[in-house]
Amino acid sequence: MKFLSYKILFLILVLSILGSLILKENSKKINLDLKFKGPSFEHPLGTDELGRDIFLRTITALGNSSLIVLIASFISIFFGILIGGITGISENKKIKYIFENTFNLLWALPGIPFFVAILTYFPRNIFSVAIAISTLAWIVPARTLRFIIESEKRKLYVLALKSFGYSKLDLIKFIIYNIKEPVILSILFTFIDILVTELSLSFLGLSIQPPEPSLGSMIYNSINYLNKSIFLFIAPFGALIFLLISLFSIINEIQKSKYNIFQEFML
Amino acid sequence: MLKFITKNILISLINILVLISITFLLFDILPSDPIKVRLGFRYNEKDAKVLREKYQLDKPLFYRFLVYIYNIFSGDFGKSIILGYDVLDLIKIKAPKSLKLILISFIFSLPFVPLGFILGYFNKGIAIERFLFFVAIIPVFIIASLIIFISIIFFKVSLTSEKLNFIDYVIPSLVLSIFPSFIIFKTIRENTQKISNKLFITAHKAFGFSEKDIILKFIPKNISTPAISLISNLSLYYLSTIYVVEFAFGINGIGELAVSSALNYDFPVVIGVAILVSIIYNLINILTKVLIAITNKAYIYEISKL
Repeated sequence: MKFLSYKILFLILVLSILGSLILKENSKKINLDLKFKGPSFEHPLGTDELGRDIFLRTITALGNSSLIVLIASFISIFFGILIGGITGISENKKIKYIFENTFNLLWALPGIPFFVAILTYFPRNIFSVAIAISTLAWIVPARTLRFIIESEKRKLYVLALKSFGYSKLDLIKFIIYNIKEPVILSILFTFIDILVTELSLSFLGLSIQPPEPSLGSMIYNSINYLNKSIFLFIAPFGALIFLLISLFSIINEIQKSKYNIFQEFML
Repeated sequence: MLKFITKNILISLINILVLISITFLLFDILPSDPIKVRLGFRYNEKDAKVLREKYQLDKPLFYRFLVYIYNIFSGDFGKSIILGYDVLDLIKIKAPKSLKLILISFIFSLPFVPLGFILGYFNKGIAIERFLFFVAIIPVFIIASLIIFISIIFFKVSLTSEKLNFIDYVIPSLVLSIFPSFIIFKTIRENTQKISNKLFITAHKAFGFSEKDIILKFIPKNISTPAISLISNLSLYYLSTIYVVEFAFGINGIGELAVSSALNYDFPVVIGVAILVSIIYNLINILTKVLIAITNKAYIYEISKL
């Protein structure tokens, strides 16, 4: 079963998005009579400082994070593959020069300071956070794809096909067939990168804003109320562990494959 | 050499200029009005006009852009909207704490240099590297919040209070040092292993050079380039991650300053810190490249060929 962990993670994200869409309104219900109640049949993980159900809030937060991650990774993978593919395939020196310098320029920007600076301006809803993250995240697939195509172009079979008289379009078809696996790996890596960035930003309180819950800010706020209810911390943290385990298995898969794309990123 | 240095300085100047212009244009293009944010519910046209003149927001775009760049290069980052102080003064007060955090955490990860060297020389340490890898890829805020949780629940100690002594910095800097330790260990170990298995080392051994000479002279010379380039990579990591670590542990450094200002929509502070971070990183980058060029004569040639 190739890329099984990837499929499982994808399933988790989609299910949590569906769950959050259904439970969205219930998770915002404030009831000050039910402050810091323990686990019960109605509230499986108890309630928080405003009497909201922690279990519903965790699922909604997971859904919100997943939605941001899916949108951001869709944008950045689309542009990354487009731009990386163009720079890899084209023989035009000017295009190569411009894109290579853009890659290096954006690569040298420190990530979190840049996102924090951008998100001071934006209204901090799902779409703006996703766009802000993807401004830097598209470089990962673009760089990898350019690198893979450049090294593939030098291989003998391309030269042989050229001498047989195949057209340029056919050559591109053959190259695409041969680079499928490393490209999928780089997409997975982008996915992980975006997920970790989103969670870190939500921990800083710069992702989606209250009353919408987000995993990181739930964890950060729970530290003030730990003496009242430890489920405030444990519920979002458990969801994070859930994500982390699938991340670990994805990374393990990347490491086991013969294309170790981590070397491009100093890991 | 001089050409190499000037070229690098030019590249980083362009880098910083691009960052500044992106942030400036964002400030201008986006519909959110800083004057409206500042005045809040007391907003009226008369006050807004006075403030617009005060911050020169009624002048044309290009003129303001030139003034903005001139101000930044003359050391004037503007004034904080909420706190009212000069941004540079705020950074001057907060920077020593961040520097302390980074330095202590760097000292914590230094022992991995000799460890990686020794294990690499004897072709060992893959298990340690794998273990470190899986600890290092856990996001920093997860480790930080778990440590805070455990300290409150089991030891009844709050780690988020104000940091006064050296001891208060130990746990935050340990958290900050996990990923750098892994990168240092991996780079040093892999390169030492690669070099020590090469033929010229065997030849030197056969010529009668002592083991001491090989360990202290030949191998360090050959792993110097990747080891020095670690400085620039690690500084990028440190400058990014202090935002999270300081925010989690409540250290009043520049990272915490930037995040809390971002939460309050205090634009000049966030932009000032981001530009300063970028300038520091670019300086370190130039320094690293010069250091590599001094120690490795082939480096400039290799770079020019790419």
